[in-house]
Amino acid sequence: MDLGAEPARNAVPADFEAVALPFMRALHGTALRLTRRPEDARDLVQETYLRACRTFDGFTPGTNARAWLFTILYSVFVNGYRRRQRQPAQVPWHEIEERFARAAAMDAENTQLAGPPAAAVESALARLPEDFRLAVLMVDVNDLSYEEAAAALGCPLGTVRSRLFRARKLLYLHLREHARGLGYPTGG
Amino acid sequence: MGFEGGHYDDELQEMLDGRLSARERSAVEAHVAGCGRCHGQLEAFRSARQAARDAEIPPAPASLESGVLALLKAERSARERPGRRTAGVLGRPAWIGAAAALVLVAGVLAMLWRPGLAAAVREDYALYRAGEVALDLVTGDPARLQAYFAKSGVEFPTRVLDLGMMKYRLIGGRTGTVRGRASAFFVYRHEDGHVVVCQMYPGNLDELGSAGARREHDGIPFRVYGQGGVTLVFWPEGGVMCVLAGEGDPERVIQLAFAKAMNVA
Repeated sequence: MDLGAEPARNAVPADFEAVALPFMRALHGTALRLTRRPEDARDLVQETYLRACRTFDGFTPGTNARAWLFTILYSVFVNGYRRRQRQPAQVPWHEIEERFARAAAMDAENTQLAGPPAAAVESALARLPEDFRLAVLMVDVNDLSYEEAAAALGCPLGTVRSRLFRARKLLYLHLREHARGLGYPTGG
Repeated sequence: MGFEGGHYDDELQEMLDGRLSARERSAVEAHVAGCGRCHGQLEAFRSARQAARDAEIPPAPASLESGVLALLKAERSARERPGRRTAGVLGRPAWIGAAAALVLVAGVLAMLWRPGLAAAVREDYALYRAGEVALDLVTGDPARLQAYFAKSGVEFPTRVLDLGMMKYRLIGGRTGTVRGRASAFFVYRHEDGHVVVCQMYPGNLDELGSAGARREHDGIPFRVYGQGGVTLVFWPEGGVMCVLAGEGDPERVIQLAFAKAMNVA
């Protein structure tokens, strides 16, 4: 069976750049936090734009271009840039839950983690298991709704909610460790 | 909504994210006002959420923007040429039809070129296996597929072999790109169902960097990569790189590459 040639499609729409390029910084920042290698982040963003350009016909004007681009970025990342075979995060959740509850109760009477330094936040984000980091990157850092994040990550909305819930607990504990290391008065 | 053990749990996060109804929110707020545990957890969630929201997004390097713009320019140039063919649901075009476009693409490639060829080839393999990439031409005839590549503007000589002796049947092929480089992409299936994808693209072995296991057969150097259960075997044929990708026993893919490779040095 010869599938033959398709008729020439439209040229790249001129407004693709107007729609997509404003998100380059956000895409690059996320790519960097996922791949952890500048050269891979660069390639990932470029391939995201190329693929977005080629599927721009399917993009509905007026819908969230940011969510659309992050959906493509995640797809490209999963298929080509993930360093190791995907494995479920092995996190001792029971212990984490207990630590979080204890820490939150103590900190409520002391100092909250106001304005941790950027390096501490980066380090805390990097320590999150990939699935949880992705949830935080999509929802908190890039301001996608739960629904958009679920669509981008190809998982149920409840999964995003659950990952975000756990990710924020871990993030809190990581930031708290950092603050305590610097001598800030957190409880416990 | 749950209220187990006299405390709220994920409702605290839902409230922070503005996902509760007014009624639900009132109930949670009233409880939190008088519950130290829930108040502490709400504030902890708020702290973590705010820290992530305040995380700095570093500026993208200027070279990234220029690279993307050049890439889009090349894409536009290829699309505006009549008779363009498309391949697969990704709409990956056969933008290799004209020398002018190739010159433009070559300029872009100089900017795009980075380590990670193996990852790119593996992605193509995964996309094909996931059914996300269709073949331009479905044929079991190697000569017909080679003619198709030549007609589609692939400017290097392709060599589509009949691997019937190895019990692999040619399925078909398409034009594509490997990290922006024009490629000939074709697929074989063994009678036991094992699928291998071969790609040919302009390049040389040195561009792969130092990673990968080194093998040699009949004087031909091979570079072998294992990525996510997929074995990738690269080898050069003149100024063209060939790569075979397949799952299962790595040695099976390697031996097939040995059989297919030709010493053109």
